[in-house]
Amino acid sequence: VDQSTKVNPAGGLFDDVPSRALRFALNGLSRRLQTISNNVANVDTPGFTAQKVNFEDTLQSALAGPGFQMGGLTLLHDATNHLPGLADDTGQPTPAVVANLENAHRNDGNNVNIDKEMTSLSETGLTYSAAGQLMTIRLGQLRTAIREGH
Amino acid sequence: VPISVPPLALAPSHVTSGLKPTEGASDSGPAAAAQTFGSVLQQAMGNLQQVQSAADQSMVQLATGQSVDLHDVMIKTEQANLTFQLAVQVRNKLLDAYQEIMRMQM
Repeated sequence: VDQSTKVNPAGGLFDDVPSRALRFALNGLSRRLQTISNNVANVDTPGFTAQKVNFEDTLQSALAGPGFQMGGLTLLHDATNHLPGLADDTGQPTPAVVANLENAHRNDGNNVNIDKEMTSLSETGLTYSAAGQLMTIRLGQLRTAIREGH
Repeated sequence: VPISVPPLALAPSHVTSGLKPTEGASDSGPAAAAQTFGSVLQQAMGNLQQVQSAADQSMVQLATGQSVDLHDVMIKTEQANLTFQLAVQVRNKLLDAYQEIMRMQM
């Protein structure tokens, strides 16, 4: 049986691996959009360090690890400066927001690179709407099954 | 009476290869026809499973940020969706046919 289509026996209707991966990605992408907005808004704030969201590696290692088979999505962080995701009220881990130290700080102590932020904004927005569309199609398929095609 | 069911495939090659054994089975008795009918169904379900897992895989790849073409993911997902809808409709027709036969006065 293909791993990606395996449904967790303890889980419900929406707990198959692709659905959970999509939900996690949507959470991460949404958080990334918020972070970009925050960075752009603070482009002139002295001493501001840009932030970034990295959920892809977390999701990938969670998919490879035992967490996805056991039922709970476990957050693994490989770098010590990565903050572990804090669980929201639904108990799902949320993607961690970390300081973006890739760019050099300017004289005023700010390291927001506006060009990079705008590129990331386009990319994240596009992926977010695509992932949302995929989620809609997936749920529609479930609806087809429940209504027996009607 | 041979019953032929189109395979649940969108690719033309599957349609022709899936239909051939059923058409040829008309002169080899009902047992052979039944067997081919079953294998056609099995083949169609296998194809559905294949299309679905291909879509699932590309979906997970997109979610994990691997460099996949967005259009590829959308096409695979819609193909899986349509193949599934076709499967459901064929199932409905099959059930209707079964009930029709069961209602027949013998």
